[in-house]
Amino acid sequence: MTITFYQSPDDPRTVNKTMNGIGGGEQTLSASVNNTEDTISLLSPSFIVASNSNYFSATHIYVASMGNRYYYINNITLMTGGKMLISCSIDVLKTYATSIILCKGTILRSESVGNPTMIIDGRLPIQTNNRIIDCDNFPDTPFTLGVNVSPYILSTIGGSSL
Amino acid sequence: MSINQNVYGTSSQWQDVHTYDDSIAAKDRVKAVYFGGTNYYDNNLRLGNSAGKTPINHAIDKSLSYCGLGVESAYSHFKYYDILDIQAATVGNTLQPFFTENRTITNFAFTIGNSNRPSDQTFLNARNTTNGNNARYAPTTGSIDNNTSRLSWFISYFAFNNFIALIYVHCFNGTFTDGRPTNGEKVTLYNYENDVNGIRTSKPYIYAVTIHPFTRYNANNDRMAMQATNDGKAIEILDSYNGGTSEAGAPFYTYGALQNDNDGEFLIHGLVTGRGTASVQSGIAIPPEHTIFQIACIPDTWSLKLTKKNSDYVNQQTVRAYDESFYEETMRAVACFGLFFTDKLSIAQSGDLDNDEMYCGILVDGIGHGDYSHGQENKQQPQYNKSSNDIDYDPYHPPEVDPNLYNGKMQTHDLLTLGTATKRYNVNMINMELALLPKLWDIMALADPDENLTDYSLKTFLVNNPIDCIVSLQWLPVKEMYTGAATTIKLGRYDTQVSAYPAKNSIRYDCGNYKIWPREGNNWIDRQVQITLYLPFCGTVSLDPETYMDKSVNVEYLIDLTTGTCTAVVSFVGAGGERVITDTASGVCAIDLPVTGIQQQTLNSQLFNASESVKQLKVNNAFKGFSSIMGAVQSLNGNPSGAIGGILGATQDIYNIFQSEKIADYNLQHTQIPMKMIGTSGGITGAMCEIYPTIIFSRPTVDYDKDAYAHSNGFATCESGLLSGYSGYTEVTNVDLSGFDATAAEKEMIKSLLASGVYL
Repeated sequence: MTITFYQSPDDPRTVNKTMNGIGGGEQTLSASVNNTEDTISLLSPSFIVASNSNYFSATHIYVASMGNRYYYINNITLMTGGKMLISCSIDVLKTYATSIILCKGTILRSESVGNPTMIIDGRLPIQTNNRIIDCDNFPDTPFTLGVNVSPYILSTIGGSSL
Repeated sequence: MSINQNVYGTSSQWQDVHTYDDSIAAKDRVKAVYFGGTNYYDNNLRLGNSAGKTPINHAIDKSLSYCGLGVESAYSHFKYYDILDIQAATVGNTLQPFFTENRTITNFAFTIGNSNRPSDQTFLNARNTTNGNNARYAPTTGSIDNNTSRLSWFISYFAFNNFIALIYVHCFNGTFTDGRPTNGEKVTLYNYENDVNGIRTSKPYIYAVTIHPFTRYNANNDRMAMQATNDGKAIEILDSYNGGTSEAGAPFYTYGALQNDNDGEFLIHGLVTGRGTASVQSGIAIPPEHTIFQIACIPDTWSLKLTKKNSDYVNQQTVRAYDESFYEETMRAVACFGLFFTDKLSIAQSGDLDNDEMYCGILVDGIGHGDYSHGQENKQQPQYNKSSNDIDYDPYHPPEVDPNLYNGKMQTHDLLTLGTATKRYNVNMINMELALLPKLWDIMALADPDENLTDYSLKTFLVNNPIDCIVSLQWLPVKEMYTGAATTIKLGRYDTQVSAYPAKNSIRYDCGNYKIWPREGNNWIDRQVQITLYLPFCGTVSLDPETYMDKSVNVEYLIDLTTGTCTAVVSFVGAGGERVITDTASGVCAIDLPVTGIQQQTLNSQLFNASESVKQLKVNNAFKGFSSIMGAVQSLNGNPSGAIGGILGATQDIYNIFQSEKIADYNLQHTQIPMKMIGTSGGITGAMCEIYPTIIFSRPTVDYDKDAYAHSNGFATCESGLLSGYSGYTEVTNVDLSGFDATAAEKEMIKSLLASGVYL
C-alpha cells in the first residue's frame, strides 16, 4: 500500500482543499506501509512507514487503495527501527469535494450572497439600542404662515345690502 | 382537453384551411388552423342536434374551449344595459348597466362567419327549423331567416405556434358623427402607444380593442392575417348566462350568437352585440323587464355612452380615454386567452416565438389571469410546442380559482358645495385688521340719534345685539381658502365695503408622495428602522417599515373650513400609483378668535352703581367696544375713562388677539364688563410647530467590517439550491447526499460539517 503526503494551507473546513507537495515543491512523497497489524481502520487509520523528516510538514495523506480517500494527519509517533507511526482521520470534505458541491441543500448562511438579506441575522453586530434620528419633509403642505396671505374666515349673518 | 368529436364531428372532417383560398397545398394544411362548421352538414352542430347530442336550450359541449378566461377578463363580466334606460338618457350621457355578470372562469370559442362561402349556399334552406328559433348556447346558430346566415364556423384546432394574435386599437377623437366614432381608425397597439405619426395625440379615445390572428400556411412565407368575412369574427361564450333562472327554476337564460362589427376581428374590449333581444338574434332570454338590451365587454375603466337618439333609434358606443394604464390593461386582457400575441405588425408577420416583442399568455391550471411572458421566457410555456387540443384544461372540471380581483380603490373626494345660512368670507390681514374691525366703530354711529338703538340694531343687523351678526371669526394658516370673484363683507344688511373673497367650504390638498428609500441595501436592517410621520395639527402616525420600506407614502389633507378641523389621510402607494388608505389623523388647524361685545342687558343691570356718564357712554358706545375688546384689560370700576380708552383704543390690540393665548382667559377672569363670547380660543400652538408633513427616521447604528464578517460568519439567508452556486463561508442544512459512494458514517460527518460551516 502506498500513501502520499500533502500539505494543505487551507482551513480544515475548506471543502476542496489545495494540496501542495512537500519535500521539494511540486513533488509528493510517497511511502510504503509496513503495518505489522492485520487491520487498518477506514475512517481512522494508522500507518507505519519508514521515517522521513519531510513527513513532519505534511497535513494530509492520500491513499488511493482505500477508496481514494484523504486523511488528516493527527499525530506522528517516532518508533524504534527508523519507523514512524502516522495516525490519521478521514477528511470527508476533501475526499468527496467533487460530489459535495453537486448536492442540493438549504443554505442558511453564505458569504457569497454578498450582503445582508431579508432574513434577520442575530449575529450581525448592529446596535438597535444606539439610534440615529433624522427627518425629511414632504414636498408640499396646505399650510402657510406667510404674511401676504388671507388667513381669516369670517362667517356672518345676512348679506343683502341696505 | 381535446375537442369532443362526438359532438363536433371527426377531426378528419374538419375543414383545414385558414383562409378561404383553396389554393393551399394539401401538404401544408396540417400547419393551418382548422375549422368545424355549424353548417357543414356532416360534422356540425346540426348533426349533433339532429342526433340529440346538442339539443336546443341546453349548454353546448365546452370542449372547444382550450383554456378558461379568468376573473380578470372582461369576458367574465359582461355588462348589460337596458334599452329603456338608454332611450331615457341624454346624448353624451354615460350609461349604467342594469346587470353585470360575474363568472370565475369563462369558456369560449372563436367563431367566424362565412355566409358568402359558395359551398354553404346549398345548405341555406336546409338549416331552418319550422319556427326559426334555434336559441342555444354558442357556438351559435343565431337568428335564422332564409336569406342571411349567422351560422358560424368555429375554430376547432390550431397550433399555438401558428396562431399569433396582433392587437389593434380602434381610436377616434372623442366626438361622434351620426352616433358613430368620428374618423375612427384602427392601428396596432404598438403604434398607438408610441404615438406613431401622432395617432394617439390626434385620437386620444378608444372605442374598441381587437385581435387579428396571423398564421403561416407555408414555412417559407411570412404569416398572413386570417381573412375577414362579411360577418366578421366573434368570441362566443360556452357558459351559462349567470343572470339567474326563470321563475320556474329552469335555467332558460342562454347565450347565442355574440356579434360584433369590428372589421372581422375578435373583440377584446368593446360592444359585443348591436342589440340583444329576447328573440334569437342574440339567443339570450333574460328577465322580461329587460327585454331589449345592449351588451358590452369592457372593464371598469371604460364606459358606454349614448351617442345618438331620435324617435325610433338610439346608438351607443363603448369609450375609453387613453391614459398610461391603457397599454398594460390591454396586454393583460389579451394574455387571458393564453395565445402568443404581439403589439407590433412586423412581429406578427415574421417574429420568432422567442423574440423579445413576442408575448405568450401564461395559463395557470389552464386559466388565463392576464400574466404573460416574453422573449426567451416563452420557451418555458407549454404553448410553445402544443396545439389547442393538448392543453390540460378540462372545462367540466375546472380548478379552484380565487374569484377576487383585488382592484379596489380608496380615494378621497371633493364635496359638493354645502349650502349654509351664513355668508363666509376669506379676508386678508390688511382688510381685517385695518379696515373691517375699525369700521365696526362706525356702524352704530350711523344710527339716527333719536332712534332706539335696539330697533336700529334689529333693522340693520337682523339681531338685537350687533355682535350676533358675526357667527365666527377664525384664523387659519391654510393656503387658497377662497373661490370665485371678490366681493364686500356684509353684516346683516350693512355693507362694510371691505373687500373679501367668498370662502371655500373645504379643501382637499395633496402633499405629494414620499419614497422611503432603504439605506442599508433593502434588507432586514432597513426593517429595523422606526418611521414616524409627523402631521401638522394632527399629531404623529407610525409607519410600519415592513410595509413602507422601498415604497411610497402619500399624505393628503382634508380641511373643513367651516369648523377648522383637518384630517390627514395617509396612503400606501402601489407600484401602479394606486393608493390604499392606511391611516388617518385628525386635529384642529383653526384658531377661533374670541369676538366679543358688550351684553347690553347685563351691563345695564350690573353697572347700576357706576356714574351716569359712564353708563350712558357705555350704552351708546356699546358697539364701539367691539373692535378692540381684546385690549380691554382695565377694570371699569377703577378708571372709567381709562377703561373707555382701552375699549376704544386700539386697533393695535387686534394684533394681540392671535399673539397671546392668555387674552381670552384673562378677559374672562378680570374684566367686569359682561362679555358675550363667540367662539373659544383655538389651536394656536399647532401653528407654532412645523407646518410640513415630516418623516422622522430612527435608525440603528450599523458599524462592522462587512468583508471580515462575511468570511467568518456568512450572511443569514434561506435559499435552496446546488452548493456549486455558492462560495466562501457557507452553512448548509437538509443536504441531499445521494449520488456518490460514501459510508453512512462519512455522510453523517459531511452533514455535520456542512451545518457547522465550511468554505466552498
